[in-house]
Amino acid sequence: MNEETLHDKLEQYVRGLLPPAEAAALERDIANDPDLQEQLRLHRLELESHEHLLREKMRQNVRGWVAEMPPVNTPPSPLLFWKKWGLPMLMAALLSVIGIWFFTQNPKKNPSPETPVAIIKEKTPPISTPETPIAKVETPVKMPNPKPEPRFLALAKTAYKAPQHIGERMLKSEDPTEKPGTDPMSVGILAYQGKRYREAIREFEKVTPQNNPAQYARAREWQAHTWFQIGLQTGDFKPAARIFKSIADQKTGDVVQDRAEWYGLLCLLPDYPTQKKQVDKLLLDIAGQEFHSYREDAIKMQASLE
Amino acid sequence: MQTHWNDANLIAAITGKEADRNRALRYLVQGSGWRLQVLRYVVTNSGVEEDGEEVFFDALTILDRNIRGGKFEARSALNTYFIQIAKFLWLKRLAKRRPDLDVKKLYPPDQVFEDNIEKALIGAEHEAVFAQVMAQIGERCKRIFELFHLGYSMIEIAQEVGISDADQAKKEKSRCKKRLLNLLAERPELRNFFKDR
Repeated sequence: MNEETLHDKLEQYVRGLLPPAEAAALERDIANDPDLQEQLRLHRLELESHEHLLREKMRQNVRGWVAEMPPVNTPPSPLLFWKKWGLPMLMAALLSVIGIWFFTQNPKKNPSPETPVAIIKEKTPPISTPETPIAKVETPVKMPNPKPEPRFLALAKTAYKAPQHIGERMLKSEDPTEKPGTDPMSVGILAYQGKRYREAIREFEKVTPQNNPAQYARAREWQAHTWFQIGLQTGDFKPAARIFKSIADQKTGDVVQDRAEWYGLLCLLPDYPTQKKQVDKLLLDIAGQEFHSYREDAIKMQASLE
Repeated sequence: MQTHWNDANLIAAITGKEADRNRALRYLVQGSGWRLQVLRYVVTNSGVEEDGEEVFFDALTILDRNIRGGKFEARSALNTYFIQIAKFLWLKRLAKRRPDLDVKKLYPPDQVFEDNIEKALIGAEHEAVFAQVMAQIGERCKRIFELFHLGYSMIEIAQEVGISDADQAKKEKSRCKKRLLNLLAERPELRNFFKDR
């Protein structure tokens, strides 16, 4: 058997492609021949090196595919949670115990019912004088945004986790020669992190499907988050809700959709009394999906709203 | 139109041509939700997100290899199999990191399954040696090996690489192979590769 034929045979053998009878014959030859044993070892290593090539290519691909995706929302590690909050929680518990002990040992005398507890100053309308003119109060022509209910606004605020970590990841390029912060996405994220929300919106709007299709989806998501922050200041969550809804409506069936549904819901939450039906339905949908990224959050939210 | 992925067409694509394989793998990374499942599992079991990403990648490479090698016998759904691999990989890492944990309590052993996974796992030291060998082999040979390993015929390899015909492709592949076998024979670190695993 010449070298090439032997190589072909060993190649087929290690790949499991040799017919059983031929494979059995080859195995008998290998058992009695140390040179053949070494050849077999090298052919098996060759197979492994081919696998290595595919793995390396896949590593590059996976890295790129993951980078294209918005961040995932994983629950905080219990280990990290206790490392971070363990001591403060212990301190808080100790302080509470001391506080309770202090108040039980030094009870405050009840004020007599005759004594007024506090004098509430009545607000009297200010008097306008020529020296101190009162600024003219403009009556708003219209009130387009429903006033958020403080309780539900607080609930939305607590449930909302700002996506700073996406920004950090994006701004920390793996290429040390690349200057960060020059493209609209990076500038927008920096503006967002600096709480310059209007500027951030302007930057994110520069990313269009035409000039940057790869970043457009992420820019839209960032826009929505930035509008959410503006909503916390103005009470108007409609622009954020609109963008999150349009992202969710694309039905990508992945974490992007999960996130858009959840954050879209948080946009409706401050106006819960009028949006109750829709919020409850969304919560029911999310809580009912076993692998929805925000299932647990939705269940918690349902409990909070009950 | 978007592909509606299911186990059958995922397996067909992974064992098929490079472009189909990449489409399927991309879906598994981006659209299947499996990555999130792994990240959540790792993070809720004493790990951090970075651990989760590594476990997800390792599990994906093992799934890919076992599908191509016919070791996935479809006794369970692909997702179940994948998550089983990921859990095994994470608990194996966790056991190394925290010897006080009784991993077997968390995950009852299945010898046949574990053997299949162990055989597909390559240690970092061996990976480094393969990378060094491959760095000496040249891009053209690497491309020929990749295509050959994915089951491309000599005619297809010739077309992909820009070789005149199948015979020439076969000759070029043989030259590359001899070179690779010589390089592998020169590496003492790989002498016990199969015994170490």
